[in-house]
Amino acid sequence: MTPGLLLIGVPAAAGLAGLLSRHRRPATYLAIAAPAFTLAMAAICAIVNPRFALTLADFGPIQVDLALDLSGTAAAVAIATAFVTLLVQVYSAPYLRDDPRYPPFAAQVNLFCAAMLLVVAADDLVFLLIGWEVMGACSYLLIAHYAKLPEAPGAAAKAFLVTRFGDVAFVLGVMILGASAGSFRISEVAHVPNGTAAAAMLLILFGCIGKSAQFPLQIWLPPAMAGPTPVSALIHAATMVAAGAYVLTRLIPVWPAHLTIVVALVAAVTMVGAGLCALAATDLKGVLAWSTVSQVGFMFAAVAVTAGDAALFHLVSHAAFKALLFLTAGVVIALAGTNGSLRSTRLRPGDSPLAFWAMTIGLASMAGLPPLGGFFSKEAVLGAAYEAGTSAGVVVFWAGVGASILTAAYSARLWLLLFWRGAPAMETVKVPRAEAFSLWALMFATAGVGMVYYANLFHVPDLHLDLMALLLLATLGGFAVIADAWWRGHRRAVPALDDERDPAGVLGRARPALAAGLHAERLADRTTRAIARTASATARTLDERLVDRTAVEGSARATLAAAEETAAGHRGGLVRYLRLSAAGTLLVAVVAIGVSLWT
Amino acid sequence: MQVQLIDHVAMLPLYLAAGAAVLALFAGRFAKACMMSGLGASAVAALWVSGGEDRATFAVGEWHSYVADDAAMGAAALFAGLSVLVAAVSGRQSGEYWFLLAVSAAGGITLAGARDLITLIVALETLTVPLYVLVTKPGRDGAEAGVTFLIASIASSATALMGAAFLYAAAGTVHLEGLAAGLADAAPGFVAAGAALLLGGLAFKLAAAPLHAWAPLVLERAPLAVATYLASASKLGGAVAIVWVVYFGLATDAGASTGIVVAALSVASIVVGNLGALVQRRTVPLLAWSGIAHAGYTLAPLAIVATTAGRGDTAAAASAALTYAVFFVLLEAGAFAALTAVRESGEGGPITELTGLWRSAPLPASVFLFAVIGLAGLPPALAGTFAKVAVLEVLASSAVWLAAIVAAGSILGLAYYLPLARTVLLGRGPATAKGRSAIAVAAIGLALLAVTLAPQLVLDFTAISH
Amino acid sequence: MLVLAVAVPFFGAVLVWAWRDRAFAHWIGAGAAALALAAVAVLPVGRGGGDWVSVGGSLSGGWWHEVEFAWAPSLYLDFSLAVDGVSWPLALLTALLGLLCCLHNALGAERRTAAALQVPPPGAATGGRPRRRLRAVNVRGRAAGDASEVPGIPSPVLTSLLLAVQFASTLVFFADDLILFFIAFESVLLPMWAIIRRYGDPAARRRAAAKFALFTVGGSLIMATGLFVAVADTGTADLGAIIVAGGVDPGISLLVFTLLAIGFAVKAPLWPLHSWLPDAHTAAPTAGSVLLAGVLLKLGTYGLIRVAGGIAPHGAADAAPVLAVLAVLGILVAGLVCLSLPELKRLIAYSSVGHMGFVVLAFATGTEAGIRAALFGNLAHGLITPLLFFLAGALKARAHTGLLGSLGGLRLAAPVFAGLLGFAAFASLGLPGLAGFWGEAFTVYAAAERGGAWLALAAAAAFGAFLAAAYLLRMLRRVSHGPLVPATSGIGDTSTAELVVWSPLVAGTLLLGLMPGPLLDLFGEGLL
Repeated sequence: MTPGLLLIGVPAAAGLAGLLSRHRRPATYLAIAAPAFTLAMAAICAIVNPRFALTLADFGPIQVDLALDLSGTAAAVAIATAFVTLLVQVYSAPYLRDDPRYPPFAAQVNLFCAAMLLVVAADDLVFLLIGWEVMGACSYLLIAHYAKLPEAPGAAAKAFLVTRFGDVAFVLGVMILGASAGSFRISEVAHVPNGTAAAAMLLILFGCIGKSAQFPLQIWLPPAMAGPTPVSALIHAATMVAAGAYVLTRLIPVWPAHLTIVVALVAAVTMVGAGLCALAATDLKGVLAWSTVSQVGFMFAAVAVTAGDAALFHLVSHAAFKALLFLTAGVVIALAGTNGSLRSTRLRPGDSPLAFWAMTIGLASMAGLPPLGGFFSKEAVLGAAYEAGTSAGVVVFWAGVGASILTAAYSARLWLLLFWRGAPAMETVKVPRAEAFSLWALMFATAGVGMVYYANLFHVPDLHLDLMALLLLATLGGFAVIADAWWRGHRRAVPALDDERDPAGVLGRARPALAAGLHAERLADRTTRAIARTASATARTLDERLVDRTAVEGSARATLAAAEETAAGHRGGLVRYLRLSAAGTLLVAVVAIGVSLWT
Repeated sequence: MQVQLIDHVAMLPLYLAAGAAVLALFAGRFAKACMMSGLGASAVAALWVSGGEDRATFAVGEWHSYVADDAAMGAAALFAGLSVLVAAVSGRQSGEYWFLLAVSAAGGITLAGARDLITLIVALETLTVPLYVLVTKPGRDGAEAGVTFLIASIASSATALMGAAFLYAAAGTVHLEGLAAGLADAAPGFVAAGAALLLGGLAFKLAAAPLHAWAPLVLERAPLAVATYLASASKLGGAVAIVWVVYFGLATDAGASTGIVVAALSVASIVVGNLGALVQRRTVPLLAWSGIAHAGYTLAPLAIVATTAGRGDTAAAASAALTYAVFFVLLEAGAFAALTAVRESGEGGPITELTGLWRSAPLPASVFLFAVIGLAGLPPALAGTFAKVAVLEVLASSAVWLAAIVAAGSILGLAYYLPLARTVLLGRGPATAKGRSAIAVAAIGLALLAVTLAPQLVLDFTAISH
Repeated sequence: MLVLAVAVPFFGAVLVWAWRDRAFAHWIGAGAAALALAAVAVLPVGRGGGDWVSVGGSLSGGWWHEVEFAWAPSLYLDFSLAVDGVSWPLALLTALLGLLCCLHNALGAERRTAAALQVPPPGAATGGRPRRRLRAVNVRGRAAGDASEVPGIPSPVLTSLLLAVQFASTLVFFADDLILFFIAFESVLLPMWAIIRRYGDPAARRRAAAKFALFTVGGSLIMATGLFVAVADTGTADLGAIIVAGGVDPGISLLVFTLLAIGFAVKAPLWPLHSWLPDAHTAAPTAGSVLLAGVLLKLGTYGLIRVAGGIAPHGAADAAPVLAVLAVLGILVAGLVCLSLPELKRLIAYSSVGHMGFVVLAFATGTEAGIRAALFGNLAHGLITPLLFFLAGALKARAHTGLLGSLGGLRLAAPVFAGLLGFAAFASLGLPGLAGFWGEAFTVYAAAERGGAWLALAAAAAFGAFLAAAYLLRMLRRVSHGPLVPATSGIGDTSTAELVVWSPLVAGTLLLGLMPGPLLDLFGEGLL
């Protein structure tokens, strides 16, 4: 049994077994033991880098292989995934202490983890697809976890459907690629002709856009906040959202060079747009959600300049700080006793130093302050863009700089709004020890992930001093804008609780629109609903009225009518009978004579 | 002129049947027994004759008027057997009843062996004429049925005779084999008219369109036992006559026009029969109308002689038609016999009165069900399925369009057979009917079961060749 | 063993029928079904006894076993049975579903749960007597023009009919003689008709049963015509021999294929010949729906792939575009219609049209991958949709309604039940890792492989899979999520009996999803 198989098999089995479990205690043990074991396996994989393949399904001319390839970078991502899952599980046990549906929840998280690890490790596109879509299904289940929350099922269904819409293209792309290459192995599909590759990759890109909530399929991510906070941490940090970027990095060799500009444009629009939305968002988890979209945009940007390792580096560091931020957000919301709206959620730093510092470190890393992980990874991405020397590079470089400014801005805004508006006095709730453990672990990870740069695990460009300066400048610029807005409000002596004080005011009139994600979600919602309703009605008309009622039952009715006519035509006794017979016989005779004479 | 030797062995079944008729006339109380045993002996004799080599007699040169080959003797045995069945379900009747029935059976046996037009038509008349009396029940309705049947029959006989006359004029002979040889040089229009009139007239017996309309009326108003005879033996007579005429006489040189006539009769019967049956609410008319459709299926394979390719397969087509006829009359006989057994009043009545029959009279009900399902052509009543397979196999090779019509007709058939079956099987009414004539019903049920399990029994007899 | 596999359900049906008044009749039925399953299950043992086809000098596949008895040679009818890698899984599925349906019936799973809710559980509910009395009451009720019998009352006659369907279907899968194939194909009709007509939903069963019967018999007669054309052309009715010989003459291949395809398309069903299906599935009792979806539809696809494709390969190639376009239309129309259907069973029924569209599309591509995908998807559908029907039937029995609008909160009322429903829905929408995925994904592959205009079909099929997700999630959202509604409040969770019946399907779905390889290899050595 290779560690690679165990890596995926153990959490999957734990997940499936957990689904059958009805009791909390064994579920908890299973929930924590499985990712811990997985983490160990991932570490082993990082050392031995197993490769493994056997045929899973033989379709004649083409096979699907159960193929794993845990090279160095993949193992790193696997470690990050397992690590985050473990901490999320540790965190969830107390977080959902009053929830009777905890056992299935924990099981689903494990399944989710297994699915992501499958995506990370798979060397076969169709095999990968298993993890890819199981992840979508798990996200559906987890987002819909709260039975009482009215919007949860809708948000869950939306998350699944939007990503599955992307998967329509993804599957198609994979199949075209496979049909052209005669194999689904990632290592073997690189040699397909350019035209096919272009079509296939554009389709696959669309799938990745859906999974990673990039423009224009970002609409599912903000409502997905209806799920429990640990789920958000899981989805955003290490699994689903990152999966799209990850798969693109694996497929970089297939990309035709001239098409990277498409990725670049997607990344640029997403980075900047999501940054603006994050700045305007009115909800703690909303800010984090939009920031995820924007940060994953950075990964796409790295892909656009074919710097796969830079993308993965950012993925790993993003996993650390975003998990930290989400888990902390859960703590903060619990402490403040609110629903997460920025208007009401506020603490003083002293209320919970742990939450304060965890949030501070996470935000600083996201904003890109050295020496935290975010700084290195973002620098790596921008450096790669800078060195690329392609038009795609130019686009993502400047978009990245702009997005960095925005990142700094929304990070600072969140920090100010959360901790520096004072708070009504309330009894301090102690952060459960397990939750605190997760936060501590993630804080260390966030701080330490920058060191990975020096470990040369990822092949990323060297640090450029000028770029570092530029990035710092951008970050500080972002801070400056927010600080300016904040202090101006302060000077006008607007009470800190007032909405006026919100530095998001710098966005001016565009703010409500941006806060609502430019209404894209509502618009998409309405359009799809309208289209679905019309299409469905049309189909039913066609199917039920035309085919069933008119063609099928209509013919039955016509037959019955003809039958009545026939029966009626035969009533009338002997005379009519003789007439009928004579006429019929004569007709037959005439026809026969006519035909025989004619031939 | 050479004096012919008459092959009395070949004639044996006919002698026995005729003897039974005469005996029945004089036997008084034992008329029924005499008639049944005589006809039974006739059937056995027919089977025995068929077991030996083919026989023929009444020759003019190479052409024989009476042939006792396997197919003929099989049909003869069936005629005799069906008459016995009808006699068994007839209950108590006066002496002339048995005589007339036996005479009719003798006509059928003659018909089976007939190979010239005159013998054929005379045999057919012998088969039919006694029925004029039998169908007439006392009362106005009975009289109307009798008169209708009489006039219809006479009209059809006239038509057939006219056709026969035309053909005689064209070929100079009435022997079927002579027709086969003699029609080649005749005027095609003349031949076509002859074929159309002859076949149209013969189709009367089969109740095929356009001479079909008597069937629902007469069958409904005749006593049920006689209706059983009309629906089985009498129809077998029509089928046999048409198959003989087409196969031995017309197919070779008048194939084109014959094929067209048969196709027209067949299609018209299928359409009219099914449509008519679809709206019937009474049992006997439903079976009668559907019988018209079955007449159409019987004729269908013969229609392939219209094309040159089809004429190569005439033997197969004739076999298929005869096969279908045999299976079909067996099923009809089963249905009518079972119905006769459960209807005290001697008339069919509305379908709804059969509700719950399954509970009150299981044996006739199961035979009836089996027959109805077989008529619908569905397993487990494979007799009907085999019949359909035989027809479709022939049509599939030469006339796919006709196969499609047959198929469409069968679909329509299901639309009325299934509700009928449902009424008998699933309905839960206050039915109190008791089965009578259990042995007869069981016998026809066993016969149906036998041909279901071993269709080759029938197929061996219906394989026709020169 | 072959004969045994066919004969056991037949005699089981007869025995159950004969002893229909006894309490143990159910268990005779279940026993017969179990025996039949065992007989089918051991068929792979010692395979290779029949004719094997050798291609390029090496044995590549063929019949595992063959038996043959002459029946009616004049009609080309032989009682000849054969089994190979294509028919065996389907026969196994049939036997499994037959057993499950008999068990379902025997355990009276639905009735017991329903009864437990309304009246105190009757002491000797399994005994024959109380049931008979109950039936008698219903009889009187119906005679008075009242509502008909309560659905779900287990009756030995139903078991007998189920076994009859199982017998006929198994015979279809094993028939090596075209005429026998046709007869077996027709044999399915009557018992199934009786199941719908006798045990179906009182409001709809009359029309549904009639429609089902007429459509089916129409299809099978057209198919029969095609078969007979083929028999006339090749001079033999031996399916295996015709396939090995390369089918009928290319000149009439298209005609033969068209006739056969129309016949099988009715059964499969292929749009627009499907309109009997929603009515029949909706009106049928649970066990009937299960057999309809799990077995009867398979007859159509099996016939299409093995018989139509086998004896008229040229025609299949010529007709492929038409078939493919209709299949895709079916996928899309079914998906769209499902988006707004208000009733649970009808929705599942329509979804079958979509799934079968995938199977037909995969077959139409004519590539090796496509055919394997078609066979796989076929089998997967036979596991998943019956599970859905079992669940829907159980739900309707509990909640007394199948309207999506009046259901909700199942997750709170019956978590295990809701979990199973979710599982089945995910399987049905083709989630990778479950059985539904392989067939549908490789349908897309096969279409993409053909290139050109087929790409558009591939895209449409992929979009159809998306629609499946949309309507199934809509269904889940209405049924499982949301607050408790009156219909679902207080309904019991799954009983052990139900779990016993359903678990093989769940296990099979998982197994096929995770390990599709062995089954695909079986298909690979099949005679096509």
